[in-house]
Amino acid sequence: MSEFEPKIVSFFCNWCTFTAADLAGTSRLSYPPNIKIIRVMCSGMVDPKYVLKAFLNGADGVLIGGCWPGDCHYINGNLKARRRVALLTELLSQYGIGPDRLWLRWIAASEGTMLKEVADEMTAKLKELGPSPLNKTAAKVA
Amino acid sequence: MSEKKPTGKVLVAGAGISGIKAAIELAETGYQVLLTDASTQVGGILAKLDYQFPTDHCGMCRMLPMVGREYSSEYCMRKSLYHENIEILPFTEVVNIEGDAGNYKVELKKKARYVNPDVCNELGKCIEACPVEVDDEFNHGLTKRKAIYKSVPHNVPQLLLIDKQSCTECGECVNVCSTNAIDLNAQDEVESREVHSIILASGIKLYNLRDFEDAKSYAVSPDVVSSLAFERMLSGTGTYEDGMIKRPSDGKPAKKIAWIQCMGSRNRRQNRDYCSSVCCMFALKEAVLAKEKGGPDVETTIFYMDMRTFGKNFQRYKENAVEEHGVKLIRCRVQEVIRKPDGTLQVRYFDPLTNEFFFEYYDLVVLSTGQAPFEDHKKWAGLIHTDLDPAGLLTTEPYSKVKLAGKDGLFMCGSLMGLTDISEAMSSGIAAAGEATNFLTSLDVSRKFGDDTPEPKTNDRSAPKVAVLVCQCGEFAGAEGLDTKLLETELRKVKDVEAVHIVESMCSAEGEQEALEALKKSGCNRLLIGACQPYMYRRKLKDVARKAGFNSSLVQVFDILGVSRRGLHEDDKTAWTRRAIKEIKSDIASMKEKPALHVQSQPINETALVIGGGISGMQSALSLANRGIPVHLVEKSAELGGFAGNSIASTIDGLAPMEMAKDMKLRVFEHKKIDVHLNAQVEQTEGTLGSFESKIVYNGNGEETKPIYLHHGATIMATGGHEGKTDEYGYGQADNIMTQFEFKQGLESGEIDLSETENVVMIQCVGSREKGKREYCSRICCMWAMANALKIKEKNPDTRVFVLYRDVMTYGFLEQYYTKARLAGVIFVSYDLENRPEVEIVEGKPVVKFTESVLDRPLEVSPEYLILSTGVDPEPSNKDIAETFKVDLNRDGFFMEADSKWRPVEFQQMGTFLSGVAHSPMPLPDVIMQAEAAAQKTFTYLSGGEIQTARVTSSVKDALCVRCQRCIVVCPFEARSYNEMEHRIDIDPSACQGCGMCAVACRNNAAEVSGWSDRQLMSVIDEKLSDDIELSTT
Ligand code: FES
Repeated sequence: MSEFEPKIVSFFCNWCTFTAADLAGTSRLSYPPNIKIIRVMCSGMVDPKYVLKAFLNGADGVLIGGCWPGDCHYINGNLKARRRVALLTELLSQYGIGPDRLWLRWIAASEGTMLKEVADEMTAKLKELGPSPLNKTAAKVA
Repeated sequence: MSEKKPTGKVLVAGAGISGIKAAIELAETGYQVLLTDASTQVGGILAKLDYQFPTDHCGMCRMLPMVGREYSSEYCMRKSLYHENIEILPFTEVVNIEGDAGNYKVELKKKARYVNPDVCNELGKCIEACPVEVDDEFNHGLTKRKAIYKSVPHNVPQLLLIDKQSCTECGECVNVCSTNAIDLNAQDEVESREVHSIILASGIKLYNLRDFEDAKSYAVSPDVVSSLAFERMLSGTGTYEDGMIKRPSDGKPAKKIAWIQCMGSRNRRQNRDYCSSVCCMFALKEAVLAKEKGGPDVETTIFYMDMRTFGKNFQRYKENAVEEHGVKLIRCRVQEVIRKPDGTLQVRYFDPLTNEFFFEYYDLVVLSTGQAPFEDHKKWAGLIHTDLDPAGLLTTEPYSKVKLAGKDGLFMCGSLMGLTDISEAMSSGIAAAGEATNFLTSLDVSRKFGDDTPEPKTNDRSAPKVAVLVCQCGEFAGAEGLDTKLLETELRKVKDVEAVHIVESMCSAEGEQEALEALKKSGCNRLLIGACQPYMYRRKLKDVARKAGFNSSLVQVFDILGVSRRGLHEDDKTAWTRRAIKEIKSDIASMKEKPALHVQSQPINETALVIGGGISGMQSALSLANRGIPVHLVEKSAELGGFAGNSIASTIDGLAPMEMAKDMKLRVFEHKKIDVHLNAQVEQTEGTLGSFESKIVYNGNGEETKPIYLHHGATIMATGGHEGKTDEYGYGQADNIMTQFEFKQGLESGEIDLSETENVVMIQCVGSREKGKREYCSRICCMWAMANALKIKEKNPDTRVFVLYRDVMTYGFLEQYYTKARLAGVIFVSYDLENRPEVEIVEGKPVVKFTESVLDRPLEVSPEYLILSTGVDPEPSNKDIAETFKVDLNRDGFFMEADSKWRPVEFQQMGTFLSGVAHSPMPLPDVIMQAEAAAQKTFTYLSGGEIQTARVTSSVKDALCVRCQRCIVVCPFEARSYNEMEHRIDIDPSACQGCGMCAVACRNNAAEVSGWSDRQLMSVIDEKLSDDIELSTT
């Protein structure tokens, strides 16, 4: 049996974190393909429904990447994201999706290395945790 | 505007942040800009700084246009910059300027890169192959690079180049390059261009430790670095991958770090009698970041002479650094740095308070290197045929910091004026663009908006049909392992994809033609282009698409060579193809759900309202009126001129504010486009950018007492300030205790006679830079003190003048007055808050007690005059105005700009601007510069009669909206408001930046951002999570 490969839906803000991903690319840093990047304009644009949808559709983890506090192009979108993620984490835990599956990270445009580290770390963590409980049930039903 | 007139064209020479800002402003105004830079990249010094004071963050992207977002790049500026009206030429030098005002012919030397960016695929095989290793300048020699290299880590496209100085011409790079991009025999090219106006923005050179004799006793080890090099140590793209701060010599962690200030600056003997203005804040910021990055056990010490925290909120920043972060400050002169055998650095310093030598050990020493003497000034003076002033600087018109003296159509901005911080760089860039615009409106040139190829009419309601165009990049993609055949087959299977076309090379004319034909035939309404370097070719690809009948918003370019290979392991051969298919599919998924978006134009009222009739307000009003914008100038008192214009006859740098104001008043009253409202105040205002209505009430005993209503498109707050009051140090208890201003007036009127005067004492920072009082530096009091002190010495050289100070804030070229005062025999004595001077009134006369610091002995002086520097207070009326206009004040009562660094003259509230002392205390030339900048921003928005809103803005579905108004609260740009009359949510599309915060906050899915709908995002998520296609057999 091949190793479990978690699927991590990653919402990256257009200004900072997405640039960091570009930078990682041009700096020839490789990060696991488990990270599936979706560009959004701001981390504050990530609607809780997107996160829920991702988990319902089979994501094992969701990573939201935004600018550092104070850096958000839209002034405070990242702070709104932070508040939202705190609430979401609680909500998700009621469905058995632990806090380790939803990550919010500040990654500035120049932090390509950090992007790689976060991607590696989250992939490793999810490999350790195994598939999302929603995926397990889905597998059982099928 | 007739079609025939040529579009105004401006050369901006220098693409640091001030040059970029000037270019963006001009481009937004509709002029064509040629933006050159002698170095290989844009961004200047800022490209090296991840964090900037006073917020410790970046935010550079906030200088991009907010209204004309459509025409410029919308991504991090460290990647690159794009604007339809700006042609960027990096690595290009201006070598000749001929002609005169309005008609300049410039010769540009495009330096050879030896790598053709049009064909380079940025894979970097050449870099691997290159055997030559040299120090990397970008990281200040802390890392190595090859002879063929990318000069900046984050630029997209990467733009490689060869450093011919170190290149051995071995040809290894040429051998491995699969696209023949390298030509070792390439030559510099000289090209000549015609422009109407020129803005010089080439910045300054920083003091280099190796170039100067006086750095020798400090730069004794590799562990002594310049402040910019230290910046690279802190950076995410910098020298140490783990972000640790280490000693360059042996890689051991640096736990004790010292900063030595004024390296290269404030040195009269070396002919550098200036202060570099920003180094104090720079060092404070670096010390704070060192603590944040290195952990709490990192110790940071700054050795300084004066802590010059004169900018807005800088004083507070310093206090925070000391109190919250434990940064240690030692006022002293550092004698030397000695390297000990174990590599630690001994810093020896002389403490003037105790008169003793001390030494302390550090792991790392950072030298705060300021500006080097002004080589660029010499070069420019030669090119524009002008003389330099005695200090070796380009001269400007009196009162102006940006207008070059006697040279119509020539301006400068940024650090060419002397090292500036970001906020000043921005103001000067905008002001220079303003002056250039002023100049261009006097010529017979036009402005240009929008595109050459008109947007085709599309049927918005038709079902999505997607065409995919993939460029093979010649042989390249195939050779590198992209299986375009497979790509084609897979994409054809996708629902609604009606045409897939592989073009051999889109860059070639045939390729372009081929693509155009294929697209025209396809009958599709959405288009996805897979090509390399979309940032570079965006415009060209978009034009092709438009010609083929596609609406721009339904065309997407996908970086097939770059993004789709990002982060993949090289040995996995099929991974690239799989990734590309997947990425394209998710783009298709999103695009199918996307409606065609259109640019809307919104009519606006061209009139401007200026609040405050001081010098700042009059300057803005005149500047706008001269460009044809009608202005209402509202002044609360019975007279124009404000504090400076009505009471300050002269300044230390030879300006005459009252005389200037007198002339301005005349011009204001005579100007047909300006309506002056005296004794008037704005009581109420409503509206958004382009259409405000304000109620003006008159409070004087004039005849006109009924309120009137004004319609205007924008507002400038220029409320000014006045000298602060005090009751400290016996003020009010004796006649001979007075403020600097009162003393100055006494001198000027002749009321004060100094012939018998033996002693004068001045106390600086009265009630300033202190918790609970004026918590800021007022910036001008030191200059007043210098001016008065020099006057006293001039009238009676025998008078002893004591200036009791905390930090002498003679930043920039003002330093020379400090030097002058000391040479004239003025005695400067420092004090601190714990040990402040005491004043006693004995028989109606003050007696001042203080500690004389050089000999450390208590002194008692009974001066004939005790002069207090009481600082500058904001106008109390700011509070009401702030409320009326729904803008904020800072804790000190000055107006709070949208962004302290990147948007200094705007409010977050669109269409509302500020300038002058309403922003913060500042000297007259800065007031004028800001006034000009505020006028320019206003002009850009108002002058077209209409503004084009971006395609991507938010909307509200009235039928779904429950009017809970949560979206109004969350909107960071105040683009949403509740319309009481119509009982609905209104959106100002020019203020909306499309961030989508409202859409998330809306519980009913009524708020939505066009182009970012839930449906689009949801289908992308679906696509991203769908199973990978199996390609294991290939
Ligand atoms: S723009 Fe990056 S988090 Fe808001």
